[in-house]
Amino acid sequence: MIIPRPSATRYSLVLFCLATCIVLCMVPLQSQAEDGSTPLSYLKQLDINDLQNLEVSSVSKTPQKYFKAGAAIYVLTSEDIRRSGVTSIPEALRMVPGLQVAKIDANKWSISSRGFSDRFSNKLQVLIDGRSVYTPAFSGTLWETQDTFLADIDRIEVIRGPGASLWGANAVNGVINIITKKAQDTQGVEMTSLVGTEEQGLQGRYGGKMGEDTAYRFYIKARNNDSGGRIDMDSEDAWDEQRGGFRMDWEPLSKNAATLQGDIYTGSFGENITLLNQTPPDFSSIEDETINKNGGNLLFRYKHTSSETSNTVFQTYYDRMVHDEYICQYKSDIIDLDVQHRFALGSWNDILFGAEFRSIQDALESSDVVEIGNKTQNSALYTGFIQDQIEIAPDFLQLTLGSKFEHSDVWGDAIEPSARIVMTPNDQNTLWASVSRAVRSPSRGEQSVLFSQIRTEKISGVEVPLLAVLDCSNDFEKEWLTAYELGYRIMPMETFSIDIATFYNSYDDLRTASTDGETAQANRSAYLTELSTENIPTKPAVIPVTLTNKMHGHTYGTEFTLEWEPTPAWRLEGTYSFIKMHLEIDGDKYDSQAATNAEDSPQNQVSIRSMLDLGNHVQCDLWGRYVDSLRISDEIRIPSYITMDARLAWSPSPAVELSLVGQNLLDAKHQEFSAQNIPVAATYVQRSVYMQMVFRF
Amino acid sequence: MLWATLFGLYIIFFPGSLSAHKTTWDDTQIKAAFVYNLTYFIFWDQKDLGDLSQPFHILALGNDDMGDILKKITSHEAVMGHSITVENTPLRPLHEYPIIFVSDNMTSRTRQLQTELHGCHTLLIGENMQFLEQGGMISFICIKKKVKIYYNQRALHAADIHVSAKLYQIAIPLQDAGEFPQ
Repeated sequence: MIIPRPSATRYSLVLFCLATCIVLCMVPLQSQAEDGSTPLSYLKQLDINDLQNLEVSSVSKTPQKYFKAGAAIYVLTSEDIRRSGVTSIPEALRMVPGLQVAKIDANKWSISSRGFSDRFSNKLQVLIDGRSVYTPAFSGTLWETQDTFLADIDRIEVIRGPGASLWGANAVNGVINIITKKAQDTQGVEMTSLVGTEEQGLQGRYGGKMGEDTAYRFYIKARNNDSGGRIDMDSEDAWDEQRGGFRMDWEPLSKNAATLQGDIYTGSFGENITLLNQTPPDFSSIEDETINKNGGNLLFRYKHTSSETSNTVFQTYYDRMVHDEYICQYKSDIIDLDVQHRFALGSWNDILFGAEFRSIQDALESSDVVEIGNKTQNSALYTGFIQDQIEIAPDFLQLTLGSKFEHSDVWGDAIEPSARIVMTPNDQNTLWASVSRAVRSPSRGEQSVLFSQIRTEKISGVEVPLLAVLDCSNDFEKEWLTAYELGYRIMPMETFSIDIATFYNSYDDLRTASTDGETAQANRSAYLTELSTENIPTKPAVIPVTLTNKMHGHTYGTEFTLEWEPTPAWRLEGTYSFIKMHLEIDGDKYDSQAATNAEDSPQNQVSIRSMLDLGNHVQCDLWGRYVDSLRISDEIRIPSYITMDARLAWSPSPAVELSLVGQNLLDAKHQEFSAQNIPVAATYVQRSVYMQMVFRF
Repeated sequence: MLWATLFGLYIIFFPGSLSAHKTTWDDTQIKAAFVYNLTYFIFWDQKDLGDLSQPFHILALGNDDMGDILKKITSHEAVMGHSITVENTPLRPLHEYPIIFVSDNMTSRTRQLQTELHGCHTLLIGENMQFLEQGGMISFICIKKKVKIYYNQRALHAADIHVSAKLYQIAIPLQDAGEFPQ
């Protein structure tokens, strides 16, 4: 099915109209802001009697500090997560403008920032409480294993755009920071039971104290998810997962604090996978497989605060993964040591610097699909960084300069500098701009795997099976980004704010798969010759492929967020994001194939959320989304879709909450993605309903 | 896209629809304003505050947002000539803080604070009833979407903290609190 796409000219016109509307609407709002009625200065002038008569907003707002950040930052609060009705971290990320979140099958997601969507979105760094969950073996995040007791998440900070000067390699197009609550904030028992058409779950958490200074909590969670909707074959992607974890916070009434936390998980994840076999004429078959994935982590953090402007943080963690993937069994052990120190130099400079060492030990097992060059590998990453936040004009103009310096004994060196300038003429306006450079490091897989994939090609009217043999080696190098960003935030009143971010990203040395044209042609001819003599050749035509860096390109776009609280009981949020990608292969484009398609990320996305308190402890929340169409390849196109989620919740007492949630209510099923680079079948996302009971005591 | 365009147009033609609406505040902002206001209702002992070069230190325990908002509200302000500083972490002995704000999540440490502050003139402010029951002095409690002031006379007396009569007129003593939501 061909999906017509509006022209770039039309999008430019629409964007221009939108920008004009925004600028015009700022005029009356700005004039109000200039009345001198800044929210806090107004509060400060009130007499104690007046303060007692002020009405408290029922909805907690995004902390003010983010309003003045010099980056495209969006914060999902625990309230946002609770009221959206989502049951997993990937689903929560759908609320974030500029992120492309799509479900591939029931247990796999493609989550990327500012384009380059894929199962392994390799340009997005993800951290949970400071622990990187970006997998260096595959260059991406395995979202199906990233979970926790959702109510314990304090916030999810999402930074679109490069964060490499602080977070290092692979923080190219964005950074997701998932931050859980302190143990002292999760005291007591909370039990949640969920029963639905697509999902069942049970989880419990207990928080307590050990003496005056130490708080702890532990949780257990079990979930069972149904398979997705059938597209071309019976879907076998049902999954279940069990996990548990703990957190201890030692916080004496002094300058020191420490945290010890850990998680452990195990799960079974079904999938339909395309396998190679030696039987002509198809040379491939589709099998349903169940993959076992286990892992755990342990993290320790110590913080010493010397003064309001000076502190030192030491952190170390151990992370283990054992994934029994059919295409490649994988084990990894990561040990990370990190130290950071912050201090003020004079009254103008706030300096942060640090060093990190990471040791990665992994083991990959060959399979029918994948052959591994060196089965085990020990590698080390050495990192240093420095950042200076300079108050050029206090409370008005701030410049932040920083850079990360990295050395890997696998992929070499990288320097990732950035410069940001933030102008805050008052509490209601923030204008910021930045220029940054970031690197995406080659993964273990991209440098040491021999991967075979079968496909067919019509030559002279004959379907010729081609066996693409991808020989990954150290020839594949780093990918580079230079990013330019501009953003503006306005909050004319406490109940209304607008956030606009625009970007232009220029990429070099992007990943391509290149073939030796002459060898490939000779093998195709040999196949046809054999076909003419023996009818069915016993082997497909082999196409040797190597990974190369023969593509460059640029992307540009904008992200727009509007928050409005028309009444204390009603909050509205609208987001819109637009991205346009242009990718071009260097040299002979017939010999190289792009690993990324310029249209595999939705060009337009809209999300509108309404959170309404109906009174009597009843909440009614609605969430609608529009996602533009995708063109994964010439054969695979995903139509645009509109979805609607609804949540109705009632708390008869502070200890009990009952909620009924409907998801994807507007259609019975829709497809969101299809992974081009992995041999796993996609399934439909289906309409679902669930009921949840929460008990706290 | 359509929604955003229509909304932009709506704002252009009906800007009053936004500005006419009464502004709302979250409870942290209101409580921060209360803390600042309270500095005028307490009779601070000049001897405790030291000479004028010594800042008036406020400690906000357990809620960084409260500390951040307090910093904004008290910037360029002074108490009896002492500039105000707000800290989120105890960087000095507790008795050097004339005011300690104890967030909900730190209520369980009220008795520990009391023990460590025994005999000192530090005003302990909290935000729930248990805080007062455990020996806290003043609490800002949200009832029917409004923040009310409650106080524990015995605790104030024990710390030898003198409060102006005006505050007693509008605040509610612990023994009159009766039953109310936490």
